[in-house]
Amino acid sequence: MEQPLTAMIPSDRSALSLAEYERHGGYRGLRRTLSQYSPEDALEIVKSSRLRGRGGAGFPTALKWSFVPKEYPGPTYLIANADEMEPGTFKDRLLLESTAHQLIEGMILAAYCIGADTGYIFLRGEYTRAARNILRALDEACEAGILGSNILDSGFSFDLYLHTGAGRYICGEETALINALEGRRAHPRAKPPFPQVSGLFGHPTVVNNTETLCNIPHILANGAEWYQDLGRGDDSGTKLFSAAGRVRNPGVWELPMGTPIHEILEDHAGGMAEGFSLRAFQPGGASTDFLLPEDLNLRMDYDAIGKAGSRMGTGALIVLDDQSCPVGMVKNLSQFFARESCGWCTPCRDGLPWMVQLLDQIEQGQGQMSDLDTLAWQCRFMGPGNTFCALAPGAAEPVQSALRLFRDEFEHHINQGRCPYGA
Amino acid sequence: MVTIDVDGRRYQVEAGQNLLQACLSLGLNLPYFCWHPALGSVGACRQCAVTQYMDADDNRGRLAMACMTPVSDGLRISLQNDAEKAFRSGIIETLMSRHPHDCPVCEEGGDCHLQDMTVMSGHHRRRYRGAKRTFHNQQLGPLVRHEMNRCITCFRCVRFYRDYAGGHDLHAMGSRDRTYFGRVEDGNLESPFAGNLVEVCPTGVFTDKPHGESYSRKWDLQSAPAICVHCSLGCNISPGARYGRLKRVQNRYHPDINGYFLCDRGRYGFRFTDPDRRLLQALQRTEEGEETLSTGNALSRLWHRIKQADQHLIGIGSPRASLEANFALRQIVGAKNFYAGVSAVEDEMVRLVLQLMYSGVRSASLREVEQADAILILGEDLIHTAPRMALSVRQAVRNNQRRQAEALHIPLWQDQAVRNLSSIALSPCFITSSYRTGLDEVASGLWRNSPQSQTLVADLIANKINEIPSLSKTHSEGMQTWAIMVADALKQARKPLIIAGCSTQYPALLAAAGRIMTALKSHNPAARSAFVLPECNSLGLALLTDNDHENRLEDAFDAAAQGKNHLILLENDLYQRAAPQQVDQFIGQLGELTLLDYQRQRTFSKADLVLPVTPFSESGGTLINNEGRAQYYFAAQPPAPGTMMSWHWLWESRHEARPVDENALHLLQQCAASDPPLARLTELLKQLDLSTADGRLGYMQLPRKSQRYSGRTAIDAADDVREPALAQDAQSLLSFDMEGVPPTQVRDLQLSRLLPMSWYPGWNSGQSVHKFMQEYSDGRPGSGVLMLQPAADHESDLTTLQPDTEVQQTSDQSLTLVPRHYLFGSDPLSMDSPPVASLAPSSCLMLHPEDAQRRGLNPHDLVRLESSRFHLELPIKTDNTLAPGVAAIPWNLPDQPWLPLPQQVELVVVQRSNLIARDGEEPADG
Repeated sequence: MEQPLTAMIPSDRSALSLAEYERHGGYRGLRRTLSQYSPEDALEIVKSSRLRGRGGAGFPTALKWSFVPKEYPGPTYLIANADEMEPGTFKDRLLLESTAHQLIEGMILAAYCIGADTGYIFLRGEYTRAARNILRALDEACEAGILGSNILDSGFSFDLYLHTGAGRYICGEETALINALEGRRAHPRAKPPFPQVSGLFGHPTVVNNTETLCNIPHILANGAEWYQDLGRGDDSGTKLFSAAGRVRNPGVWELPMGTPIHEILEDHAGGMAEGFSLRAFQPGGASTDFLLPEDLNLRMDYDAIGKAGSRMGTGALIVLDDQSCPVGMVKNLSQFFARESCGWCTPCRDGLPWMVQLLDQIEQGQGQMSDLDTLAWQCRFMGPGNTFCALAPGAAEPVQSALRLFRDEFEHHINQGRCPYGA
Repeated sequence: MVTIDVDGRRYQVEAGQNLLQACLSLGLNLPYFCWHPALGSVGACRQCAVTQYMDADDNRGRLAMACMTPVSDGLRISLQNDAEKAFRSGIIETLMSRHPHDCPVCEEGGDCHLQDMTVMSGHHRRRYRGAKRTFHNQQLGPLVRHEMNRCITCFRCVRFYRDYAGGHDLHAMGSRDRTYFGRVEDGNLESPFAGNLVEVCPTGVFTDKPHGESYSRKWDLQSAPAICVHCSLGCNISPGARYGRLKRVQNRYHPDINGYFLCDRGRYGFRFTDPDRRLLQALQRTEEGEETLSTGNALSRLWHRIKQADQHLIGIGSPRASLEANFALRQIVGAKNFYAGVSAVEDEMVRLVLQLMYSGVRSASLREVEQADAILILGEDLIHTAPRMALSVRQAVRNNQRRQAEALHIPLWQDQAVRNLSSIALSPCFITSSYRTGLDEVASGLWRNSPQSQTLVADLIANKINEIPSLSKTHSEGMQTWAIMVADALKQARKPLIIAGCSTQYPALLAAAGRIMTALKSHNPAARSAFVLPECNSLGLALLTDNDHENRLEDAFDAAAQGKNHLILLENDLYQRAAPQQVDQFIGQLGELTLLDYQRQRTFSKADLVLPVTPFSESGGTLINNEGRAQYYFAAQPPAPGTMMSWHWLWESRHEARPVDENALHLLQQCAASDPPLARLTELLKQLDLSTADGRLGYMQLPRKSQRYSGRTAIDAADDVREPALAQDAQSLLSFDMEGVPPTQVRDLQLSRLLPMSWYPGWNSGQSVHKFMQEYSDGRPGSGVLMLQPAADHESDLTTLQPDTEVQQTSDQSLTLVPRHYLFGSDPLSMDSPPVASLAPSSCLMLHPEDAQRRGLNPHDLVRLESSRFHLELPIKTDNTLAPGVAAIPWNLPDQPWLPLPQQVELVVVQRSNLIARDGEEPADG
């Protein structure tokens, strides 16, 4: 099984130096691309690889790039979204802490494709180890002539900077990230205009997820066909999947796209921990709908999970066992989202705290049956399109599916006037 | 025009706007919060949701925010289906889960957009059972009260305060449901436009503090369409009165002038009209003492005086009095005995402006100022001399950004998207001034130097535009470069604008500005000029004195010396117009001084017959603003007992103290007929004439009181149980009553702009203004009449405009003393308003720290200013935003004598300060 993104990472997860990275075939894609391909050719290869964004939405990467205007007179920016902050998601962290050069190579290549001259890595502030490694890698790359002006004598120049965030989940939203990078409040921006037309400081800007960018060197080094063949299902390539919750062996693994969920849970996470059984799971991080044990045979593909009524999201499985309170879990998740709301739009800013208040009342045994209708209404109320960005709809997903799947648990809380799990 | 389908009905709407704007323009009710006609769309509150359908067959549709949806041909939406109605009611319910529901004790109640939208959305039952979040409220100074618990987080306040008005000290802080709008710490709001927060905030977070101290509900206020008297721009205001006094002033929309916003001097300066601050009693002073007079007695005294004085009568008019009042006085004393009540310098400068306007220099409305793409401001610190114009300049400098947005197909109402083009340079704006001005931060070039140097550079710019080579040793290389840069920018611009005025008191600079204007005008017909004049009716007074007679103030002084010693002084303080010794001498030569005024100003104590007149709040009249626009203002309430309008005193006395049934409009008619330059007043009369408005009004008047006005007949019952007769305003468009044409029936656009206040069923707050417009973007002219049409015979006059520009340098030790204007301080009327006076500076002499050091002076040292024309003692204040070699003094403070400025002065130390530091004071270098 090929693991192009992570195979090079040593078992102690120490950071790869430039020399070590090159020993594992690093910067091969860059050398090949700069010497053999025009930006248009390179973009075409990425396009035929059918790479889709790894940040959660699964938008085709090459299509996103193609919206950048050609021959733009001013600067064009490329931003790596490394503000990984969703509860239960820790896949980019592995890449950022160990293979900063892979990200740098991916960014240079992406910049080459879209004609960007300046890049920023927007890193979650708490990822201090990653920050140190990225800074060292940037120094090494600059010194080696891989980064900066006239990269590898190709005539192409690209400057890259690290920016560490001050700790807001919303900065993972690409336009809020741009605002934060400009020093403004981290509110999302309205689209259109899309960042590709008017992004950072009003100039064309592409924001890609860290993992997405880390795929680029391998696609350009090995070709689109190779990349497509990596996938086991409809989607190409590999993906970093993780499992959290009461499993025997929580962790993150690079597996082919389309790997069945039961394989991830059983073969990699080692099944449920002793004495616990699986009640449900979130397939793609804290902001995705719950699925049930009967869905374990689904393949981890964007569309397959979508058809089952959830989202593959970041590919971070969060497991709910039979001994944890589902109401308590969704309350905990909702608290996070309510706390991280940027405050810009009404349904999110004031709707989420209300949702938390209801879940809290129910969890404490002070709920009313009508609260369940209110919760269901709130989930529809903050549905996609009704809010300014995707934060609140994502926050509503676990609640709406919990109401559907664990309705009796909610009712027990209300009828018994206490949490049956003793919380 | 495009066709859209709303709830199954087809409408034609203007292309390019957003759907919310389009729906409101069509008169449809669609609730909203974060959108504002001047601030554009940001899509934050989600209140204006509609269902948008793909095509005729789509019957599900999807929710869309109207404010963020551009109108397009064939667009099909619904406003009244259950899906969107339930969502909108859900938004209100969610907002209300945070709101304290304290309407009964909230100053916004009855004038609250949140109340209106709540009712409109249909939400009435609350499901939320949790606790409400609370905030700390701040002390934001004497003008605006802060009550954060009411906040619905629409972000309008910071979008106005920071984005639109360029303020720095109000922030959105924190995040999520703890987002806080306030200052970093308690303190006065710094923006001169802070008062607009009261109207911009859709609920009661920011309320009018002075109004709150003596409060009445909006529906209990008696209002009028009035004009602000605190600078020359003529912003339209809606003052509201109750219990015989003004309670508040709010903005009244005028598309060409103030739009949606006022400055704080205009909003809070009105308290000089309080009865307890005014002259309310006619009195006569004799050697035996003071004697109060009844109105009848006072009238007959005045009549006797006029009759007896005969050939010895002179009158001095006022730039703050209405055209009617000045005209009436001119009729009484005769045109050759009527003198302009302004200083000689101001008189010269205003006449220069008149001359420039006649010669075809096009004077810009504020709407046109906002369209300029290159601006040169000469010697004006607009924030302090014409504040609302400064706000327009702030909008104009973003035109470059707007052009880029258009190139990227970003609609201009997409406010954040346009502002996000932050790397686009601002449109060129150049400022010459002796000190830092409030607009320096948006300027692309500054010339900070003495008025003389500013004049030299202005002349150079004019020459560069005319391509006249001008090499002189007075023109340094830096000056040449700067002039070329400015001239090039002005020549390249599509709509260049020159702003100049009278606040420097230096006619040479205005003349040089005039030469630039004339040069530019022949280069580009789209070039515009904007003038800043000293007072609200400076231009009106100038038109009345623009004749062959010698009628400057100094001519009046001469006349008195020659025995014309019976003076009638109209709404004026002579000590504000000339040096004290000169005024004392003049008054000493007078046999009789009759004063008509409402203010206890300095000349008041010298008058021997005082007739109490009404301020703007109790008068009707015409003012001509800086643009040359004649506008009529209506009284918000009848004259206080014992007072009359100035012209009324004069007119009744002329009729031998018999009551006259003439009304203000007859007077205006006579005024229009008197001089050719005033002929266009007949156009204004047409806008105001009830008889020609009959068709529009159905023989009824517009009520000044709302339909819900309480206590109409019982309001004074505590003092007098008899029911008083209602005041009549028979010939006017407006009645002092509750009955009349309801605003819902005012379809006529001109007339709707004369509504006393903005109210519409379901729209109690000022947001109802859109009900009286046909399109938010409508390009129709506002009310008022432009008086000044270029006259062919004036064309050549400009060549004679060559005042000397010689730099007078008496010695190395001398400084050029210039007047520095203050928003709160330089306008004597508003200085009688406590909120404004509390923010005014104290008298001092400002010096650049280097100039102070060179003379061994420290802050707070008392110095004597010595010049050829005056002596004055003042404490030193250092200020490094002053040009070196320049000293400045606050202009026109009430306790300060009038000074002939600019002037070369030398300083003599009178007393050293032993102060080492004062609490809260900046270090000595400013």
